[in-house]
Amino acid sequence: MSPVSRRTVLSTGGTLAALAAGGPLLASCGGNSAPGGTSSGGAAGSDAPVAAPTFRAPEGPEPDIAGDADIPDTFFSYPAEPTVSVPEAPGDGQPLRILTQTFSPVTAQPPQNTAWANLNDKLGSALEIQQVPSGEYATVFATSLAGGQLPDMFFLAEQPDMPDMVEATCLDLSDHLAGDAILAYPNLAAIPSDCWEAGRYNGRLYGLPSPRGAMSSGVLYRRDDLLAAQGVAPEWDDFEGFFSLAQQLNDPRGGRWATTIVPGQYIKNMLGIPNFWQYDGTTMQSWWTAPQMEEALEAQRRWAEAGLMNPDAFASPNTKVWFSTGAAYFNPDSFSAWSQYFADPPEGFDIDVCQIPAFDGDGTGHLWMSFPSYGRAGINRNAADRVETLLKVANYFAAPFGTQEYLDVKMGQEGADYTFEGTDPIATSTGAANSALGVRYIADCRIANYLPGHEDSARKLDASIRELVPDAFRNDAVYLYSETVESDFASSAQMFNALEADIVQGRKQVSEWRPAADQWWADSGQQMAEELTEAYHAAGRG
Amino acid sequence: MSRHHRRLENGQIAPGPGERVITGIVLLACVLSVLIPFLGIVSTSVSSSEHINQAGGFVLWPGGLNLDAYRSVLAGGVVTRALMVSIGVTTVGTLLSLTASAMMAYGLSRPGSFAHRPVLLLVLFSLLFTPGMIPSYLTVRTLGLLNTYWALILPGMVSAFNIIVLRAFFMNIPTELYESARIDGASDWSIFARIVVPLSRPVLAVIGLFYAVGYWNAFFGALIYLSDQSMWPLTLVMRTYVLDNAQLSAGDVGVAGDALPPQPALQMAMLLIAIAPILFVYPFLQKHFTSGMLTGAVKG
Repeated sequence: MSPVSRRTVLSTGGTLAALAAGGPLLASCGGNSAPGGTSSGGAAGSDAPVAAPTFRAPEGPEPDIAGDADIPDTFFSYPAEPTVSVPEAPGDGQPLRILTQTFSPVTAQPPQNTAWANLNDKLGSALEIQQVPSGEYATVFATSLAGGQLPDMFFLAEQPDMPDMVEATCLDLSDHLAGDAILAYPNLAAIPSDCWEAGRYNGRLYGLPSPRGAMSSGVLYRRDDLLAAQGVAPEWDDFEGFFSLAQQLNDPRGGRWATTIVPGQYIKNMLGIPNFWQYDGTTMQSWWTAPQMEEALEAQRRWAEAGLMNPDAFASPNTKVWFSTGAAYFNPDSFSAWSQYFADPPEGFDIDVCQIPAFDGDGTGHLWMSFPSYGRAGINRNAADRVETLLKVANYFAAPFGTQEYLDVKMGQEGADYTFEGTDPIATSTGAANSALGVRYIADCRIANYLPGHEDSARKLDASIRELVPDAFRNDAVYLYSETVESDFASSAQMFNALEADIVQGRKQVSEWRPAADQWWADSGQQMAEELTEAYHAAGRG
Repeated sequence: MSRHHRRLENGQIAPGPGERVITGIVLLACVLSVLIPFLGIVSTSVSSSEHINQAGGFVLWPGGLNLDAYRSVLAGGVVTRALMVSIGVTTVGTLLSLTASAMMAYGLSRPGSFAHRPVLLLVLFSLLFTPGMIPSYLTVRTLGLLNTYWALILPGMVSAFNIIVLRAFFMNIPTELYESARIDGASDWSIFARIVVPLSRPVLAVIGLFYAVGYWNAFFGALIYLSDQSMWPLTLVMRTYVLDNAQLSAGDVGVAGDALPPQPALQMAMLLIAIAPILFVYPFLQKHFTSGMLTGAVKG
């Protein structure tokens, strides 16, 4: 009887992999991976890593304010004559099946959905898209994997044993993408090189990234219009100054609180706590064991005790609505949420991002830089005969800002889904919903800073990013692989999150944190750090 | 007996004015605790963006009345179609479930029926376990039910708990009725259709409502079994609006658009559309529901 390897088992539909996943499948979601940042493939593997895809900047319109590797380009208006980045329809006339996640309400099907129908026409292949609500994506992915029902292209949800699962399920794209090979797909080549690490497993390239970078980093927003109405300058030099200002603004009787929720990450940023894993020159250090954690927890506990956040903050946070409707002055969100707030702004709406002074006023704090890519998408191993077509379609999805293809993918069909105001495409009342097809999680371009009709606001956002990003802390373990992280991280995170919530809400003492952190370090934390350090060195990062 | 109390015709003592006031206040509080959130849902769904913003996201009394949220939700036909799917699955599923459950319960209620005890034990045994998500999925796939409405009905068509309840009810039907029917030459089918079912209308109404509410609220089966989202029922579509706090503005891709109804109004409109059918059906079943729930509760 021939031995049955793990790979053999996985390749028979991945059933056992999904069965073994159990609970964590339900808890995890592809997205930016776990905060541990190590759930993707990483460079640790027996094979020599293939070269990263060559980066080549897109040949598109000049931005009004040019960005760089970390800072997005800023455009005040859409180019009057969008460039064409994909001259020929990339499809082969056959249906193309996609499994992806969505954060939007489910869309209508073509032909009612004009954006979808238009994209089918432009691609030359009919897209059969299964859009799954993001919260349930891991579950649906696991069952599809188990049942051998994965389609041609799919967003990869986090799974246990990711490298083997990916190898058994996805097509190795290295020959098509590594080095200069990617130049056959110019829009994919315009994706920054570091994003491709999200899809690297056992040294090979399996995944297509969706670039995010700085734009997905979490910051603290403030309502400048409301603060101005109170005659308050949004300035503070340290945490105590911020706390005093919040107390001054807090007005529960008037239905307006200082913050939507306890600004935990902002406080940690003020204290300079690592962005989860930080390489100190010798080994990886975790935020859970950071010496500043007790101070961060005590500050959060004081915030909650003083009632400076919405009373529903812990039970059912509806932060975007509270912030938009003026029920709070400050709200933690990402840079990319800026454009959401300007989708339908109230009269006089004015926001900005708070600077991050040091907790004690001595210097500055440090933003946590988000992952370069929002997860990764794979191409089914069984679709090897169509790989070039599928990559051409991905190339279409990744069309950069300023191109006609960008309008097709992001906006839909001119006239039905958007109309032009000047040169700016403005979505119709149905267009925004129609175009939210979820293909941006299969392949995407870099996010541009673009707020049509709000040039001042776009400048403000650009200035904020430029001010905060240079001092930002990166997660040094991003896209590195560790077996212990994979097996133990989720349960560790669950334990620490619960403990943090208990402490902040006064159910446990701050003093209970250190023993728990020390115990975790002894049980598995140190092992994680050692494995990640090894992977860090193996990847040539340190 | 206090001078404030009087005896009712049935011999019970009528409550005094104080007790009635307290009872009234308690009941009023209960009613308000249901009505106020419901009023909020209706009011928010028909209020203008400005009014919702002023109220902090949840409106108790509407302002700037409009039906934009309903127009927006019903545009494109997704919600309308999902509503039809839910009604269809609930109707067909309830009928099939009720038929299968009643027939099985009847068989299990008759002593001496074929394999009576082993089958009953199997039914009881199934109460102890629930199938895992992936085994269920693999079973449905093997049966060729993926992407069919049957996947929403067949896996949960018969509930062991409901069979036990129905069996208990059928066993309380006087034996003499069965015997007299037998003497008149009735077969088991005739006894079931002409005697048992007509006498069991209250319990069938209750169990039917249980099944109907179950089918109406179910979303998980649709999520994993139906990749064609045009087949999704209303609850799953509603979930994408409400629980995921989805933004119709698609602002995360930097898209500008015409002003859409505010998110709270859209969410509340969806909630109302989802609960309206059950609200309409319930009054017609209420009479049976009350008597059915009391069935077997009091031994005479």
